[in-house]
Amino acid sequence: MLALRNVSKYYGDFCALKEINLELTHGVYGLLAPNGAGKTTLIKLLVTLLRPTTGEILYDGQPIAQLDERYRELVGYLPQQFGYYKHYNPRQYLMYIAALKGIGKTAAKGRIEELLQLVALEGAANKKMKTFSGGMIQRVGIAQAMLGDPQLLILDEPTAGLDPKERVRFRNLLSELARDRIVILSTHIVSDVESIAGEIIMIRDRRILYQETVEALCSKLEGQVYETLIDYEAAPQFRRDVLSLSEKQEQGMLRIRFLSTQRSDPSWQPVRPQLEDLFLDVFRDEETGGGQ
Amino acid sequence: MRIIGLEMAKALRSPLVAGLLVVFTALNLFVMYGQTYQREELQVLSSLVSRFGHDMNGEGYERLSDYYKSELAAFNTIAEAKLGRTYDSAAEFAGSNPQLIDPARPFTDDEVELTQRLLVTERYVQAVPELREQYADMDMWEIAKGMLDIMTKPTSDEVDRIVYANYDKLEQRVIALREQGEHLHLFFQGVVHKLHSFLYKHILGLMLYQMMLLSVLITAQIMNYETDRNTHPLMYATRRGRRLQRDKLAAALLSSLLAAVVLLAVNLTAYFRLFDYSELWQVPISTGLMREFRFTPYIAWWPFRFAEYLGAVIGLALVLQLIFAGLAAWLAHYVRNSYFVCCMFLLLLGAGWVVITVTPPGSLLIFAAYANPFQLLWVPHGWFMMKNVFSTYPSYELVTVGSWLVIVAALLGLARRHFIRRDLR
Repeated sequence: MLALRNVSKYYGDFCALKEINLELTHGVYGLLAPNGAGKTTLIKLLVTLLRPTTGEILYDGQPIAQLDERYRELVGYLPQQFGYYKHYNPRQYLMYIAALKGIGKTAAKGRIEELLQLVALEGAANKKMKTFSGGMIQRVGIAQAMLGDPQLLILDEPTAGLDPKERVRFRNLLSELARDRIVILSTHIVSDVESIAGEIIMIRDRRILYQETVEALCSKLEGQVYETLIDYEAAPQFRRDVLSLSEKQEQGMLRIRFLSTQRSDPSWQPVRPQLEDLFLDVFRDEETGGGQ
Repeated sequence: MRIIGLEMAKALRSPLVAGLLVVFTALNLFVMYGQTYQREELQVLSSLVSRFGHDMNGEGYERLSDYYKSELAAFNTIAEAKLGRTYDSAAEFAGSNPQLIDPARPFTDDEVELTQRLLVTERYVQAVPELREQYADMDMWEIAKGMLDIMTKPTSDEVDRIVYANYDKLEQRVIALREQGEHLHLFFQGVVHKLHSFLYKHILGLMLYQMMLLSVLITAQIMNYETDRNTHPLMYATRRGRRLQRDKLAAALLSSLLAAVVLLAVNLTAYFRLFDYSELWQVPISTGLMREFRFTPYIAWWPFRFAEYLGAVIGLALVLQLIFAGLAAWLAHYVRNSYFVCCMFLLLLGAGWVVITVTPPGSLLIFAAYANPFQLLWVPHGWFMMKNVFSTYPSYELVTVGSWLVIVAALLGLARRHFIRRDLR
């Protein structure tokens, strides 16, 4: 179990995270937050790149700072901006990371072949990575994170650059992996975590706002999300009255999904709230996007 | 060790390092070829040494003199037949007759060759007694006084006392040198060929800068490889974690040494193939024939043979690379870009050079100012020998590299502590 106890992180006077308390067991945890909320800071604390100013992070009851490499050998990490060696091919690159992870040469060779197959890069295993597309690079990143059978997989924006097919395959893979390990998935793409995350962690104003299941979070908006068809001319005024969640053209009119605490018009159709609705509601005044 | 090997590969596979090694070697070969015109004359000495040995303290010199006399007699027989007169020496003939280079000369090619060989032999035969005389009169105290007198800024009594004490030690060394007859061994005549300064100052001196540049580039590249490529969040979060920095340091030091060894091996092999030293490896480095100017003899603190001296110089050059690589690694802890590391190192180099000009010679600090690794770059032909008044003491090289190894180790230790504790954002 991974636990954060009153973890705060300051850079001088600037507070990046404040009094974070979390407990993570097996499963996929979706980390949702807009830019500047402290998402990447939290992840960097978890992978020991940063040290908490106050509080402590425990793995199975022991401080990770004390566990040192015994902790890090359990961690698979994909940073948000995944750097790579342009002149290496994926096999060479993964061999290097395997060495840093303390995996023997022979064991690494076999595992690397498996992973390259898993991320569908076996055909490009000997090509220099400078020739790779963004999606291919991201797949190398996913492969390296999974090297060494990590018990704690921390992925910062892992689906960036993946096409829809790869994204589905990746989600399925994570669901499979999460059966016996902790997977932390930081993303601004709500659909990536909605279907697979056991729990969602939302950070706002540098604090944990929620750590709950998708269902529990969605139930917070029960009876407040509606859909209706309106004229385009009426749309500006309508948007001022309610929080528009999504809009699409339908039969020459605008089908709008929105949030309202009252059902002011009987033509409004109540619909089932989704995670994205909550995300938009919670962060309605903040810029949303891909991490900080 | 596997990680160190992988880190070394990052730098050594770099086209920049390989390219520089090729360019430097080409440049050095070009410089060496500039002196190949001397090879025939040098060959004459090699053949003399193979016949009579290099020790001119006793029998060797007598045999050389006898050989010279017989060759002079043979020459005079030819001269009498062709020119109707004889000469007291080959130099007298060469000074008054241009025939040797005249296409219409009355001599056959064999006779010209004999004459040229005689001219060279004569120089060595005449040099030995002159050297004996010069070294008998050599007074280190006078040399020290002369060097202190010509200084533009005055020294203090305290500094003078240390300088004279050091030159007293040198005097003892000269006495021992005279007793052993180290100064009377045949070697390529310094006043004519200047091969000691050519090899140690121009070739090795040039290579010192080349090795330094390679060390700094390699070290900066290895130490900052991850930040240059934005891979540091990933690499320092692996099991190896921040210990990777230690592996990188080891890889940088080993790669710098390897690059230096390759450069030295290739270029020195080329040098000794171009210039035949095969008969001279055992010649004492302090032989008087090595001197290139009358008042600046090369006097080593220890009775090194040529091969031993070369080995000591190479050893010191390699230790210097460790210091330079260590300094570059220290800079790389704080400067996160390889090219800025190189720029900062150049500033250190400049500081190391100018520190002696801003330190008052009256202060004892002047000795510390000279004891820096960048000062050593100026005088590779004087390493382990008498040189500047402030660097003429037996332990100068040892003190310089020893103290700087400690300084660099301390700096790296502090940088490492800082790196272990800092946030990697």
